[in-house]
Amino acid sequence: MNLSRLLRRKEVLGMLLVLPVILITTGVYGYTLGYTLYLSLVEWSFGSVKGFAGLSNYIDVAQSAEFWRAVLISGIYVGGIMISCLILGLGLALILEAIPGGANIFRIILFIPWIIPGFVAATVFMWMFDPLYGVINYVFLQLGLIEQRVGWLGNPDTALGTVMMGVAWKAYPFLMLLSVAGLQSVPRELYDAVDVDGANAFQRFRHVTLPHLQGILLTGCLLLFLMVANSIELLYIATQGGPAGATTTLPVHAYNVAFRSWDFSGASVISIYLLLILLAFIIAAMRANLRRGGSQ
Amino acid sequence: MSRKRARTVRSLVLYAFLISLSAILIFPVLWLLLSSLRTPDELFSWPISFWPGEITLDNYRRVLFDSPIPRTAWNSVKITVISSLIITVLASLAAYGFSRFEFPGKRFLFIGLLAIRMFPLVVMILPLYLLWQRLGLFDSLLSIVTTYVAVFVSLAVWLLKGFFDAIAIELEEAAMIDGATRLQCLTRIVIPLARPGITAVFIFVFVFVWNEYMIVLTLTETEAVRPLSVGLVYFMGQFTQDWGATTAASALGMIPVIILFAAVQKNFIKGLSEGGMKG
Repeated sequence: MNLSRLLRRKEVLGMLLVLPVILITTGVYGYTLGYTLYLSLVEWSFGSVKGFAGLSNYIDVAQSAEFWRAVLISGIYVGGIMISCLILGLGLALILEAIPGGANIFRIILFIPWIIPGFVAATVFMWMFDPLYGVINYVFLQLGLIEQRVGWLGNPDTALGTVMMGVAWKAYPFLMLLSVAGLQSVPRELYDAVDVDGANAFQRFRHVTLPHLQGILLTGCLLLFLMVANSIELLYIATQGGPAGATTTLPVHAYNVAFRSWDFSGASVISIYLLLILLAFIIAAMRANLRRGGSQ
Repeated sequence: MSRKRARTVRSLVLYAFLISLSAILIFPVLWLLLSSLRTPDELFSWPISFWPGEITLDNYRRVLFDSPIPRTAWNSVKITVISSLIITVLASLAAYGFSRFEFPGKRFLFIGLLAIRMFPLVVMILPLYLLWQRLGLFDSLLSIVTTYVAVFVSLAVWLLKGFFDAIAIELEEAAMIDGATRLQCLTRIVIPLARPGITAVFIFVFVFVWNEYMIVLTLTETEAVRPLSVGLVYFMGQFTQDWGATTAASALGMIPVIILFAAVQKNFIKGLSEGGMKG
């Protein structure tokens, strides 16, 4: 077979078109994953590899209190943010669907937190929650929610909640957008059909809206879960994991171990553990999806 | 109460609720803009007054003419434009390939492109940190652009495929019957039709790269390459009490992104939902 005949074969052209992207992506992601695994299995000290360590690094990390504390904090962080985003995102989408007009303006306004840069969001929240001159302290004092000005980000008891608020604020538009798209795909006739039978709002939601929305919501939640579980930007800018480790989620823990303690093998182990946890969730979600009869 | 009247009341209640909620959710951005126009006296007074007594542009003047911020913004422009162009071109070719051709392993590869979104940051950054150091490319425009292309091109492919799928393949089939080559199909038919989608994805990637902080923070160390994201946070850390300048710089850093998004939001949301629905 000569070259030009080969090139004209449909599949070959297709493969050539995707080749650069595939090469770059598998190259970089394969390299980074492979090298991280390598780093996790060696002994790293004073900036270089000293020898093979096998699984002893993994055991060390699994026995460290900081690791399990980070797991716990990650759990609270991700859980709280996901629930907030689901309530806000889906709730807003439902309201937007229910109003007769003007939804587009609101959609744009409500989407803004998602597109502003993370570093700007961090700045805003640090300013709003400033202990001495922040507007949150002022408003909460006026509303009687607090008795005196609170050092939100500097206090271990309030820091995590404060950061979670910031991240949820930034992330809810993602679920809102997907919910809006999903809601618009529900055929009108189904609503009319249940209305004829005299259904109220709850029943409409449960029997018509929810089944149609389930698929896209599950996919959206899974994607959001991955983004939030791995998120580090806002946290790192605002607290770097402090105060006293109160906001040290797993990604922050891994980053600090890498670039503050310069323990590259420890950091690699922590991230591999994180990756495994995420994989477990994805597999569980796919199993649940299959059982539900989904197409993915 | 008549059915129509009940519906009107219901709509009013919903509007009231929506407006209040929107006001709360947009408040942080408004507060940022408001604060950037205030004098230090008002910024650091207690109790706080919501309306500024005196509006000043001095914060902006200081940021634009008296700080390292503009330099970092120019770095952002360089990094973002170059990365986005490369990503969009490569992703367009690949998305066209995924959309129009069948080949072995196609489904697996496409799912793989999505799967890598679950990689933790440190898994990506640590090896690249070491690699760029060893290659002597640490803290350079080349290493940052290469990293961004590698990290974001897969996302762009996933988004673009949805747009390409939406273009009827019959148009190309008709053209090919008339003797057009694949390349002519791509350049004369598909790309012009997909232009809104390609523009939307370009802007989407632009926004992602412009906003990015952690990767570029880790892979750079001097002001020479550091973009606005890192520059602003550093600036804020330097002068923790200068909230006027910090909020002004933040406002400046966010405006390009908001304008770009507003320009394409209709197409983008449409394409995202179509792409997202088809998976």
